[in-house]
Amino acid sequence: MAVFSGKNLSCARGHRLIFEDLSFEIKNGQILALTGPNGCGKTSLLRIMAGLLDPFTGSLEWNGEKNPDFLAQNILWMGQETPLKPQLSVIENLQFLSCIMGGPSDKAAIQETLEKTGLGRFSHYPVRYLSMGQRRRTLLTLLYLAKRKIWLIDEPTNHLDKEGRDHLVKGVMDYTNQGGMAVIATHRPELWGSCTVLDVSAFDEGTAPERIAA
Amino acid sequence: MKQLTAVLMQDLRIDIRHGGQIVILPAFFLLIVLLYPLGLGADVKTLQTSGPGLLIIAALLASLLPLEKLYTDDLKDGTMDLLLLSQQPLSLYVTGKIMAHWIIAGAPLVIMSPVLAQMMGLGISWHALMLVFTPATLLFVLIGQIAAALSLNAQRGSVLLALLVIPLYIPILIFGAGALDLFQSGMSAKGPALFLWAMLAFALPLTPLVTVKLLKMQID
Amino acid sequence: MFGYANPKRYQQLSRIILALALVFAVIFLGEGLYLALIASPPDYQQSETVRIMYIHVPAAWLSMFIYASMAVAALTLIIWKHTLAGFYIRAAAPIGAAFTAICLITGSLWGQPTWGTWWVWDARLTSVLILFFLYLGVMALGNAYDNPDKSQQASAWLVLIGSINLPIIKFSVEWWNTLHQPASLTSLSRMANPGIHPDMLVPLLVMAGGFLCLFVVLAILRLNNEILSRKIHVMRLRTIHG
Repeated sequence: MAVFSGKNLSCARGHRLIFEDLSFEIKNGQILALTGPNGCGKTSLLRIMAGLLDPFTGSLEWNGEKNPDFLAQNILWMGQETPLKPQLSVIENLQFLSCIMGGPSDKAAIQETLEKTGLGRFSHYPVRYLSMGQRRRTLLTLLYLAKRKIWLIDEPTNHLDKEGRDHLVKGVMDYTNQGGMAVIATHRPELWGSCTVLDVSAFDEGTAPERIAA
Repeated sequence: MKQLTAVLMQDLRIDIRHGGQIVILPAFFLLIVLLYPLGLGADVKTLQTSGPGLLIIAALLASLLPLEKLYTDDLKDGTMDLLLLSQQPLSLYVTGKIMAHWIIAGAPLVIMSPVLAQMMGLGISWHALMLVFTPATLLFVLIGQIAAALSLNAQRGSVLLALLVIPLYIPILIFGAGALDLFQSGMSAKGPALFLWAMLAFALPLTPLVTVKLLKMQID
Repeated sequence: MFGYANPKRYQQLSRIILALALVFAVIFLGEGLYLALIASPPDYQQSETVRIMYIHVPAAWLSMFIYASMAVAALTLIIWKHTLAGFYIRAAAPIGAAFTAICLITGSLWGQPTWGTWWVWDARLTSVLILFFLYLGVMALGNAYDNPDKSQQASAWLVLIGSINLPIIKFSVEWWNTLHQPASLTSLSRMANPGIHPDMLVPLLVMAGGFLCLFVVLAILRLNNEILSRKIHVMRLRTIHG
């Protein structure tokens, strides 16, 4: 059983501590939901986990070992932006992204995965025709293609209708049921079943010591 | 290598699907050159003496236009984040970008140059033009993309970019125009032409590395 | 935790240097101006206009010296991430630009009586003009981002890229100049700078020392302002985000 954890993390942005002394731990098959009001550092924490942002203090560990290379190769990050080029077709976009993420880049494999996410019919449509929900779903396909051990997803249910949301939740659940790990920044932790909830705002600068005392 | 081709092909595809700078830029190049006879008069002698410099200046201005967009989309839509998480070094991505950008915004100008030289009545052979315009446009791209990465997502980006990049373009302009001048007067243009190629040999390995550093700075 | 490497020591040191530099600036500039404007002899060819030189040449030296010092600071910021170096670049760039502008303007004023024209496309003047634009670029980039740290880093990189490019620009401009310049002007500019007599050299050096001290005074004052305005920035962020 693998464990992905962070110890005593704190994050500084523009000479301000956003959160302080935050630790987390996640095992295979678990979902960790990051909650808290806007600006409390959910996205920053995710970016630290992804290695896109250096923590001010603290470290990330894989099975209790500091191993940033391993983490970089096993993490897939999905921010709030959609890294899809509107001029290119769904399949061309995925070929590119899958290629840079070390997944398969042949059309057949991608088409097959697209069928699984229900986008098979649209594979040759330029992305600009797709709705926001369909774009998020295209990115879900990338999550499948890249075959990485940890998914980090930032506010995935924004812009999604109920159908798209259910689809996404089911996709993440299936993935964790097969032993994947997922960390999700969300305002609605109740969507994600029996997930562990971590309130990032509780680690606000200055409030952390009181919290421990309480 | 696979990643490099993927970046290259994607950029070319986007450009061809969407309006195609590869077509618009040569048109713009021609348009700037068209302004000179209209402004200076169509006297053959005037055009011949100022022609070499004018051609390089027109190519410089045409190279300036598409720079701002070079890395902006990839930074804004999050592609850059994914690139950082891929196992490949970012320098492959930058190299792919540079190659694509030169094919779109550099090579067409090189190919156009003999036509424009004819229109200006310059007596410069086409291979002399290639010898000057190839390193010059490559240098425009290499140095320009550094400035693009430097002013990525900045306020007043396009004006700022021009302010940053034009002083850095000056040596290319001087040696490019100097070489063409000497070629036209039938003298040996070895000095300035070789200097252009030397600058290229210097910039080619160095500039992508600087850009990688700059992009990483822009991401956090 | 977010202070500067050693703020106390910097503050003490800067106060001492500021006081010393201020005293020397007053002494040197007073002495230099007296020597330059009154005590030194007029030139046998240019008569009184040669006195412009005592402003022009030190300004030119300073414009190059300040850029070089910024390049060192840029390296310090990029390699050792020393925040003070970033503040220094922001503080020094406008002063450098001002000295460059003084150099250009006095050069133009000097050119009118000597060469009979306000502006000559001479290699030196042209390179100084390009240097001026580099300063403007550094200043513009230093304000281009909402995040002040990013602005500092970006302008540090530009300073560094500029310092690699400056020798190439200088060389290319000189090459261009020999190619295009009619011979008469080069001989004219040589006439403006013949071997210099000690009577002129001493006031020149004193003025240069005065300018240098003036620069140190201005730079420290601006540096302190930069640090204060950064503190305000941080305090505002804290009150907004709690």
